[in-house]
Amino acid sequence: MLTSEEWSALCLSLRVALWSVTIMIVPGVGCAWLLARKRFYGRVLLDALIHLPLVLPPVVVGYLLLLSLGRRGWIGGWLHNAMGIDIAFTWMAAALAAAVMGFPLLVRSVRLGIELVDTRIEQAARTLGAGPFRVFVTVTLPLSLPGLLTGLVLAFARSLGEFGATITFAGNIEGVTRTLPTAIYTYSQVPGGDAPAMRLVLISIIVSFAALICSELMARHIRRQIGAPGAEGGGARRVRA
Amino acid sequence: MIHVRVHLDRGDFALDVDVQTRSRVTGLFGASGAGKSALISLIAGLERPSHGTIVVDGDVLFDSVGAHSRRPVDVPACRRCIGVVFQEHRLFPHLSVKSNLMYGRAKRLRGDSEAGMIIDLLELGPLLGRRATQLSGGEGQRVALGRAVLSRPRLLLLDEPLASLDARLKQQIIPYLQRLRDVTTVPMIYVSHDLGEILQLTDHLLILDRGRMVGHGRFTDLVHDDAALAVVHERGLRNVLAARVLQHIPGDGVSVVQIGKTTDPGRRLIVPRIEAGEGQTVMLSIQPWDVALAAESVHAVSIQNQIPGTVTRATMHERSAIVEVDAGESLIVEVSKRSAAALKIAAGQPIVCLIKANAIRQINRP
Repeated sequence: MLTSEEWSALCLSLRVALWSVTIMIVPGVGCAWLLARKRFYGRVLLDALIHLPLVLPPVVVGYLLLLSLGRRGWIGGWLHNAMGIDIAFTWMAAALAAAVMGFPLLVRSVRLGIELVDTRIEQAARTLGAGPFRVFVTVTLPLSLPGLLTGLVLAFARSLGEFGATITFAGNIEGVTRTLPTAIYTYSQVPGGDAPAMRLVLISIIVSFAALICSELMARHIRRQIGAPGAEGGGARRVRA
Repeated sequence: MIHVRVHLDRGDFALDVDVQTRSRVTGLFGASGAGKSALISLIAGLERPSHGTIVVDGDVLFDSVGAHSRRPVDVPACRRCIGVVFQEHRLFPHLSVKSNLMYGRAKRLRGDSEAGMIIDLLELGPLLGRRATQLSGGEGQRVALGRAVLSRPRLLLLDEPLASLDARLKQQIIPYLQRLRDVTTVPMIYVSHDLGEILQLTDHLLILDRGRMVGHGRFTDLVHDDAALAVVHERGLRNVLAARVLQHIPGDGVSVVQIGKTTDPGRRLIVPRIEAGEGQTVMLSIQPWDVALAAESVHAVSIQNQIPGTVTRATMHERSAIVEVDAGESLIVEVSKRSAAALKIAAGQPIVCLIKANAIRQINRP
């Protein structure tokens, strides 16, 4: 049904999106917690910095990544000379570009999730001897799981669709960095590419749709587990006398 | 021993407390907004005093100026070993009752006999498998109580744990608190704006009024103090007595109870029908102004109860006289200054307390 190029574009896209989500999860949750729970100097600046990729043209983000991580960039040059690692124009570059672009979406939704967690319950945990880390891992994180899940799916979907930053920083090399959007773009530029482009468009829709439905089902299950609002029964406590 | 000397300034509210207590159970009493919860937050380490010191059992938990160790100390809440039961149960909604109970305890439940004992005491066994979100208000509060006790605190703070429950549920939880008080050794500070609730647990009170301490000591001593009396008077001054049900007299709609631990027939009360079986102990409430005093027994009167006793202390206040009578149990009586003068009431004087049966209320059922 699919040609080998189309298959490779799909597989690459999934790999890039999964990796992008994986590398942003720890810093994303960390930033979200900082913004939700801490008042510190430079908080507004951090907030703005995180949200920057949301308002910048993606090409600008890709270009900045290229400037810093390209072989002649200040980090990329060091990586190349010291460790022999090249990031630009590899699938890692695509994952990194997607991660930067999806980061604000993850942080926003995790932050909202954390802000919804009742700090009084965290206080109760502290009086039971739990230090800040244990409170976060055993109380805050499980209770903000619906927000985390939503954030992960949004970031995943954003990574699947990432085009501008990817093509600037990772290029459009068949089998290496040609993800679904760049493949669709390429097919749309050549004569007779309408049919494969259409097939890839359909696949994109199906994958994104499946991700959204999965996350909604999981979020509903989690909300029911933690008795959070939005679960069936309106979140009202089911009281047994 | 607990020694708290703190000042908290929140702008529109200031709290100033300097208190030292050795009492097993201290009742922290005052109106809403008196600063009770603020004081609890400070002791638990959930809020930081503007300045002061907090010392529990010789351990300095907070010391703003370094009076004890030459450098400021602020032990974080998680290392204070102070359990708190809040007004709302604050259970972890994503965990089972069992996981909630064991959250503050390093051990596993299996083979933990002390935990088993507390779980039995609070009758939590049937709830263990449930989720915290599937509990009723009273059950939730019992689990919260168990969770705090099981974390092995050196001090247990109970911050109006019954305030969110209706009157019937309150009276169902109090016996659990009494059992906990009698079985464990952990010191407790019990916060409430309901004097009757506190007196069922302790007669040792700390009274707060608008951020200031207006009294500290035994309830029967505090009522002789003008400032403390003003606060308790405003919020339902009453006597709370434990009494054992001797007999029901259904035809008359009354019951006979024995107050104190004696079997002295002179210490028996006729009360409106009690909802408890014979032999069981109930708590009764008598308002001080519902008791009349007489120099000797009165004949041909509708008042059913004439309890002989001795005046232990009498003080005159702005509007009335407060007389403390030893009638097996200490009884606080409020009469007009005019009557007190007419009877020449003075400490050591024998007296008879006249109490209408209908003035006596049962405040809990076993």
